[in-house]
This record gives sequence, structure tokens and C-alpha cells, in this order.
Amino acid sequence: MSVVEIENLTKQFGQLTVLDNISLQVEKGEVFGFLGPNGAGKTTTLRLLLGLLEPTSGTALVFGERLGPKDGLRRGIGVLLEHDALYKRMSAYDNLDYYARLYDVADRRQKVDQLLDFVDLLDRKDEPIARYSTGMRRKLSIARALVHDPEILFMDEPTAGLDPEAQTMIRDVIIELSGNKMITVFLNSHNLYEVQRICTKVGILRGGRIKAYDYIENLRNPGGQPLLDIAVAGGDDAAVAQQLLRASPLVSAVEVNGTTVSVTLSGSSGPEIISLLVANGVRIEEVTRVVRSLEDIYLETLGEMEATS
Amino acid sequence: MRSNKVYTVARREFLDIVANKNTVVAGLLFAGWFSWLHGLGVTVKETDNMVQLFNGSLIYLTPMVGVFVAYIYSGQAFLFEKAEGIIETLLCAPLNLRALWLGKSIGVAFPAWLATLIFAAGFTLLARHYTEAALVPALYVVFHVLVIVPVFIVAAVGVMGFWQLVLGMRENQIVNLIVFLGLFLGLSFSGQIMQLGLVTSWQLIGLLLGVAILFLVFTWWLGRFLNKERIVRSIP
Repeated sequence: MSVVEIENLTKQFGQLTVLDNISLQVEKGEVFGFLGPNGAGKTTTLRLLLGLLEPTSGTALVFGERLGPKDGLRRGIGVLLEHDALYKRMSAYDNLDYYARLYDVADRRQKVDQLLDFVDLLDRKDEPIARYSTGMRRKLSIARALVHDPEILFMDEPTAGLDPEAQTMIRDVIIELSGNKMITVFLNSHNLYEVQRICTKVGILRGGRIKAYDYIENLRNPGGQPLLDIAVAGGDDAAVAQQLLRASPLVSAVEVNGTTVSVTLSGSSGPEIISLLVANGVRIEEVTRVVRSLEDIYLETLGEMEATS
Repeated sequence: MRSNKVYTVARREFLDIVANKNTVVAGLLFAGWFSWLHGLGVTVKETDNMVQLFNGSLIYLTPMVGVFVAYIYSGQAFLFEKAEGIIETLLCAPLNLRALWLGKSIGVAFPAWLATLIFAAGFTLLARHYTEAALVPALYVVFHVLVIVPVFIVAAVGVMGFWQLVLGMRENQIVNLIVFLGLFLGLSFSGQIMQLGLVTSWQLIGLLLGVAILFLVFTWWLGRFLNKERIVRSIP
């Protein structure tokens, strides 16, 4: 069973359609990145999943159920929304203790200390957090979201407004959570680098519709066929290479652009292809395995949409 | 379990209000100022029935002062949490919306009631000082301050919390201004209201108790219209 299951979900605010019939699933242990520009509908999706908004139609399920007033289900989810949701006059310890009480955490003292240690704030636990830096508060809010050992963590722009060092720190924490603790993560972001670094699956949302949705590897390498760019020494080399590769059963497509030969392989046969070219006297200068970055995919997806509209 | 959650929320609100020096000082200054103002007022009114005026003033002023101080404190518990987005995270916790609302209302009402007690004590001491009479609140006044006034304050905070949660920030500014003016005028013209000849007695206290309970029931009924979507959509 999927941990998150969204099916034909639509949300309208009056005449405005914010989400238009979207569907997606997130499996246990996955880190799902929900990408899209501001106003795309990411936060609305999150709020629908969290039971803070009612869908106009369709379903948004967590653990197979709609999050309503059922306390048991809510104990299984952690949230780190746009704001830290911390009380500045209270100490780090008291902040976590408050949330631990709300979630009926057994042995609160030990749990709170353990989490403060996890986010490296144990030695400053008694200070009012008004004295903390933005990055420290963000770390504390991650600890806050984890205080009841949730099975899934919903995050909305967790690194927004942080300096690069703090962003790296937060990303490392998320990687550790998904890797070592097997926590499922649903991450709203428009930080492509962040999503590429930590997510296994992504959805790209624009104008309330999902424009792309798959595992990152599949999106970066569509069709599962490896691509090579082979730079050769001259035009004659390119022509010979093209002739040889077209005749080869290891190659499914060849395209020549000047002295660069772009090859789509039908299997993982890169070394054989290069040996074939070298054996036939083609002078190779450079071979590059072509992998699309998430940024390429994102811009292509949004570009296609703009072209369509 | 639910009562534990209400206590947890109420305790946090109370501690946060107490930790905020500016808010505490504002509440206490207000209570002290009105103690002085109205304590002096008992003296300057030339009346044969000073005891009646003294008891009547306490009956009228204590809920007014309590609600006014609660009004000062409530912004921190409701509006501030909304502006800061904290409320959205709280709505994701395994906590019934009514329990959250009730906890916050109690957490705000309690320090406001303490400020009211300070006001009542200050008012009594100053009235005794200025009149040089051995004025002591009647038993029904003590009952009123200890039982009815906190009910009024909790119910009033519940209503204030309700509108602060469901209305947008601009609407809140308008409503808050209207409520502030209403309370301020009610307090400012208390002298004239007392001269209407309020007869203080157990019967009046019984009537006030009924009104307080009705007010509380109304507030609880109002909770039917609280929902998460309404709150989330009015977060700035």
C-alpha cells in the first residue's frame, strides 16, 4: 500500500481551480520531491493531504485514509511547513516538550534530549530560541517534526531563506532520515538542486496540473536507453563513425552535429562501440555519457507547456 | 486524554503570556490604573449608600476589566500564532480543534482573571483609603469575582479567539478596533452606569450567573463554525 495516494484530486477556491485532477503515489521509504513554481498548487496539495483543506473532488490519502480528526493517523505524520512553528520566548527544550505532550510521547525528557543531540543543539537547549540563528531554528523545527517518531514527514520548502551552509545541513538531515530511519518524505520545493540531491521520485506541477511524474533516474534517462556524445577529430571521422554506427545492432539512433556524434545505445554497450570506432580508425577526442539534469527536465517540461499554451 | 491536551495548551499559553513582560505590564498597568480611577470614584460620589456603590462597582467593573485584559492577552495566543503560521502546524497535531480553542481560551483567561483579582484588591484598598471607611466586599461580590467573572472571561476569550481564528487579518483589525472601543467606553462610563441605581443582591448575582452560563453556551455553540479550512485560508 502506498503511504501517500492522490487520485483525481481537484481543488477549487470559488471559480479558481488550484489543482486540476492530479494523481500520484509515494511508497514507503521514498523521498518524493514536488516541484513547481510559486502558485503551482504545491502547498494546496500538502494542505489537502494533511486534512487542512477539503478536496472539491478526488481523494488525498495518507496510510490509505483521509486525514481528518483521527488522532491515531496524525501521530504517524510529521510536518515541517513554511514556518518553523516555534515559540521564540521558550527554550528549545520547552518547545519540543510542548509538542511531545501534544503527541503523547512516552518518556518525553529522553526523547527531547535525544533529538536535540541529533540536531546538535543539546548544549543550548535551555536558551530562549529568540537567540538562535535562522538555521538553528530550522534544525530545531526538524526535531520538532520528529518528536513523535513519524513514519512520514511532510515538508514545505524546508531550506527556503537559509544560507548555503544551513541548506546543506538540512539536506544532510533529510538524507539521514530517509536512509537510516526509513522515514518517507514528501518534499515541496522549487529548489531543483535540492530535489535532485535528495529525492528518489519527483512530480512537476504547474498551473494545478502534473506535467511530469516519475523516478528521477527515469526522467533523466527517458526510455532507459543510455546516450553518448562522441567528439571526433574531423568531419571525415564523423562521417565514418556515422556509417559504422548505423550498421551496428548495438545502436538504435545516430545523429551528427559537426564533429559531435550523438548515439543512442540499445543496451549498455558503450565500450564495444568505442572499440569498434577505434578499430576502424576513427579519431576520438572525447566521449561523454549524456544525462539530463533535473533542471533540464524541469525547464523542458515548463517550456513544453508554454509552447502548448 | 483530551483534558490533558486542553491543559497542555492552556499551560503553554499561560506561561507564554507570563513570560512576555510587555503584555504582563500592559495588563497590570491597566488593572492598576482602573483600580485607582474607580477607587477614587467611590469617594467623590456623594452618596448615602457608599457600600452599595462600592459593591456595585466591583460587580460591574470586574468582568469589564477581566475581558479588557483578556483582550490584550488574546492577540498573542490567537492572532500572533496565525500571523506566524504556528497555528497550521498545531492543526496537524492529534488535537481536536475545539480542544485547541478551549485550551487557548483558558490559558488566556487565567492570567486575565489574576489581573482582575489584582484590580479588585487594589480597588478595595484604594476605596478604603480614600473613604476612610471599613469597606469590605459583600459575600455575593466575592462569589461573583471568584466564580462568575472567570466564566465571563473564558466565554469572552472564546469569542475573541473564534473571530481571530476565522477572520482574515484586515477583518480582525476592524473587529478588534470595534471591541476595543466598546470595552473602553463601557469602562469609561462606568460612573454614569453605576448611578443608574444598580441594586446589588444575591438575586442580581444569580441573574449574572445565568447570563454567564448562557454566554458560555453560546460560545461553545459558536465552535460549530470553526473548521480547519476556514482557519488555514485566512492565514496571511
